[in-house]
Amino acid sequence: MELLRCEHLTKTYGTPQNPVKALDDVSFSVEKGEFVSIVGPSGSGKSTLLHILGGVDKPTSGRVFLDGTDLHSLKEDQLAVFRRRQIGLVYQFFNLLPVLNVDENIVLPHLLDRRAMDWVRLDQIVEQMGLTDRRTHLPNQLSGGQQQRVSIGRALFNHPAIVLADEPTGNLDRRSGGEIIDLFKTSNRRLGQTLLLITHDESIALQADRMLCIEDGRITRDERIRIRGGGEA
Amino acid sequence: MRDRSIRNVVHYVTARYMRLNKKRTLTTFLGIVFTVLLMTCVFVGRESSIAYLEEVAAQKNGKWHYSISDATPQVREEIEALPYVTGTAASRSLGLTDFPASGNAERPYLNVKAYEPQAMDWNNIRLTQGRFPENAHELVLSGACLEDGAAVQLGDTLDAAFFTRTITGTQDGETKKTYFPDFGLEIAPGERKDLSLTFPYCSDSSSFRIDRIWTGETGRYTVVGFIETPGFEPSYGAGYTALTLADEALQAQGGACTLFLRVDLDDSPVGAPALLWQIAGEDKVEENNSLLAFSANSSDATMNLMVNLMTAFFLLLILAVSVVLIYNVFNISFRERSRYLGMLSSVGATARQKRSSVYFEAGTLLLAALPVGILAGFGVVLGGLRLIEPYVCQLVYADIPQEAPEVHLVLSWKALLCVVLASVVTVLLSAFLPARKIGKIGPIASIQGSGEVRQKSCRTRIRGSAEGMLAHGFLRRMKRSQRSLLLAVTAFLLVLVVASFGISRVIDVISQKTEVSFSLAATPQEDECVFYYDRSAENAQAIYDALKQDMETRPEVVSVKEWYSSMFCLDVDRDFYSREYWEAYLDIAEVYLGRDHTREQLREQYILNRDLCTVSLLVPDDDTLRQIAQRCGADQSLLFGGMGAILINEAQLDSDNYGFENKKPQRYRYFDIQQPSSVQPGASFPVSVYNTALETNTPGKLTMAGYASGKDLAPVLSVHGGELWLLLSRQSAEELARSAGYAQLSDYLEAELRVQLAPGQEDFVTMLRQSTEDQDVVHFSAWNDPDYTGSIAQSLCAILRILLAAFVALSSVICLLNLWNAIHGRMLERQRDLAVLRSVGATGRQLERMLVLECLGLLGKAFILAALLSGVLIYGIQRLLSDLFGHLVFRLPWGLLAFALVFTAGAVLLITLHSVRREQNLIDCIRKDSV
Repeated sequence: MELLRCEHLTKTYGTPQNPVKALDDVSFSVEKGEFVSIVGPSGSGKSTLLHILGGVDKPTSGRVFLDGTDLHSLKEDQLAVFRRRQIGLVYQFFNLLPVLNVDENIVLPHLLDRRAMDWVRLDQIVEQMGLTDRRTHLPNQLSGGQQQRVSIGRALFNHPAIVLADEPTGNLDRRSGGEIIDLFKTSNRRLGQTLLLITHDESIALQADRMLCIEDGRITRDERIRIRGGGEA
Repeated sequence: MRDRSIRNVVHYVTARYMRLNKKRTLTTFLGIVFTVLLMTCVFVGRESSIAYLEEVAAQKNGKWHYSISDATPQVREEIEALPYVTGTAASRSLGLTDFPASGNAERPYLNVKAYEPQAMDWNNIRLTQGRFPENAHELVLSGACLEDGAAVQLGDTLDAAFFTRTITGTQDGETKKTYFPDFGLEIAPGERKDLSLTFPYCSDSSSFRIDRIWTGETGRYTVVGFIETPGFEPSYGAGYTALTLADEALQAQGGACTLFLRVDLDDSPVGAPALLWQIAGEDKVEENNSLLAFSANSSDATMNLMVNLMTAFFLLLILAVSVVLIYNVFNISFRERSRYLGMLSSVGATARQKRSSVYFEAGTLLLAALPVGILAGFGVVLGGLRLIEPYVCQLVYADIPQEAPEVHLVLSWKALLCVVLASVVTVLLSAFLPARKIGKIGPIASIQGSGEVRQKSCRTRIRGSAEGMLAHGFLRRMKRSQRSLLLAVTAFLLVLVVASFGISRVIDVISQKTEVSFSLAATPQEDECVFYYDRSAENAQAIYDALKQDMETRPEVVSVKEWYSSMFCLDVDRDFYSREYWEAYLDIAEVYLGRDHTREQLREQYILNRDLCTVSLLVPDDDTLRQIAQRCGADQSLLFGGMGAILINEAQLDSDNYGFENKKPQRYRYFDIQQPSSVQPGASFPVSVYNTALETNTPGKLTMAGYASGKDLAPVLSVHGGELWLLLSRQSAEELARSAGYAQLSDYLEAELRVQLAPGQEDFVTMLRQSTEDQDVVHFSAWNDPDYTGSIAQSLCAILRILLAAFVALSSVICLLNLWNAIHGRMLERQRDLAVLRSVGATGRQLERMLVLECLGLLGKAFILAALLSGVLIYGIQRLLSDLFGHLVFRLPWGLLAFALVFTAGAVLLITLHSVRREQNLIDCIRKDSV
């Protein structure tokens, strides 16, 4: 079942006299429960693509449908509400709120949605992320790997339709990076969480169900690596 | 780096950073400009306004600072030897001479004075025709003689034989003594006294005789000019002023003269008048106080202190506000600055080089801001002077309206140097702490920007909304970044609160000091006029009755009410006055007599020795009394049926309005009495009424129906002074008068007719005013009388209010800049956090709500901090003023305080909400540094 579809996405920076195309007519779709990795060299437009898919940036042209909703037809606040319910964003530099502790950072999108606090879910996520003994710590008291786990916990807490991760291991050592990828894989395999992950690291990209290669703002390769729920493709 | 002009890389980077961060650089620049502007207002403004006020004042009494009468040549020599005396000029009175050409029978003489040329200028002698005398045989005449129809013209020759006058009491008649109260003169039979040259013309009477004493001097003078009537020439004087030149021959004759002198006010010692007294005698020295007051050199030490206090008060507040603003600007940019300085530090920049970055920025901006601020300051000073000009003229000239001199700036190197120095000190002080801090921080800490959020575990606080949780988090866990904002809000509140309090108290003191004492002013209300009459005049009652009847039938009149009042007309026991009142009275006595008497001696002499005291009575019409009774909650049954009285529960005593044994007070003291009477509401107290005709004292009894405060009386009456007033109903007053043997109430108390007119009867009022102008029986006042709007106190207070408004406006601009800068700085720092919040799904409204909650928390903290600090400052100001002036009731200007709170809260909220930039690209915000 198709969850995400983007059609003819373009993004142009610079001036009309000197335009720089970050995305050039990008179209693809993602199935529900699919784990897709996007790889490409620096400046190829992969982060721009992810941000447009996550509704935090706007395309110059083209459309993005998530679960049937045209993201960029929504007004600013409607998009914010949509994001907190349907999209989980994980950044390379974690982007946690420095004044909130681990628990508070994780439940932030949930509370922003004015929903009653789900302590069972929080305990579950905290345990799943291996942060049980760090719950009252502020981000500046955590290691990079721990901060990224908080960031993933925050992305997963609301059961979003899709998690978008922008080089989540780019700022971490190999061991911490491995743990993060394991967390993503677990959430995808066990809970059927749809996942779109940007990475430089081909070994990480190859752990996904499908790999998209992007160069100069265009998708140059769309390769299925393994069949969902099954073995290698 | 190939640019050869880069000599100092730290300065180069700082300059680049300033260019990149244009908004903050502009804010700092504006802050410094306003600091310089305010400093210019203080120094150049003070100098210009004093010079202007002196110019205005000089038009009233002349340009001399002190005058010494009957100065002998020896005295003149001693005075001219004083180092601070910059010039002297003398005038010599030749005496009176007959003036046969006079057109006024009451002014048949010329009062001839010989003036040295400088004395003419210093006494504002202005020609209207002809020229000034060039020798001792020419003279100019006062223009008043021409106005009175004197038959004299230029070129006429006048022969003079000079004389003075004496008055001798005669034995005729039963008169024991003859009094001239306006001239402080009393003459007993057989006694002979000299008359002043300005004494009115009078011929012999049954009780005194006027004699001429010839001085032996004569002269022949040619009239060469006419002058404006000099300010020192009284219209009632027997002679017109005539001025001739005091040439060398006349000066060589010696003899006593009036010596005018000017002194160097900056150089003259505090006790300058005392030195002059020593040389010439205390009673011979006169200070030109209206000229000296503005430079804090007048003989009134309290007023001098006020001028100096106000200057110091404004200067300190401006300094504090400016330091806070500039310090904040540097402090806010600390994190950004520490990042690039950290990088420089990691490649070898020393602490001194890092500190120099802050000083470089401060210095560069100050250099650019100095000319801008000084020029803007000139504009503000000129504008301010124009604004206070009408009040100044009213203040100085009072009842002598004159054309004011043109407002202009007075620039001196001294003042400009003070502006520059004060600005440099302010900016350096402000930059010192941030520079010190930046010098100490290590390279890694600088680059990482660590230390912003505390490193301590926090209990999870998931209660209520996300906005509440976030606001709590930002408020509790990011205290360091709030410090600047907290400081900015607190400073804003402090300035508004302290300035409002300080100046409102000073206004209180000034209005107290300049108000007429013992006054109960029943100011006519809108469309109301009041007739008073002099009951001692012939046919006064008949004229009053006819007037009353006439008013009652006039179509322009809506209603006619009768009020009665009299001061000191009812005797009460000494105990009627409260202990608080008597203690204050003793304090005043001590100011006069404390050097020679103990307090107990004074108590014995001035309190215990008196059995009876007096109170004053006011009998308004019953409707008005009923309204007052309702407002103050007095017992109306007592008031209208049981010989009840309302006490006006206000009294102020001060050393200006009470005198003891003709001595001078050692200093000014003022007491605002909270409870002037010891008689409680409901209690009865004995009274007695003295009948002046029968010379009998009739005892009676009144009951206290209630107390009325100034507020209860405010729409109708205002009371001021140390005398206690009782309000009685017409019925009770009539009974009191009847019991004392008065045929009617108007024999006991003075009546006044209060006439309420229909709206728009200005012509009718003008007619009434004109018809009462030329007679002495009925006096008239109306709501639109100019007298009611132009008292000295009102003018002074108006000037102070303008100063307050100008100061608050200017310092508010600085504070607002400070706030704007602090809030924007904080928002810039938090741009990334806010973008993250939006990326995880916070709506614009949620962000706003979070910010509002944060603002409320921050305002709460700032209010507490400001309350504590302003409490201390307010206490200090109250204490200082109380020590200087006497007991002042602590009164907060609630209206201004409420305005300060609302204005500050509004400003914080509006700037904060305005600072949220919703349209910005989230990813840009998340990625970018705050530059």
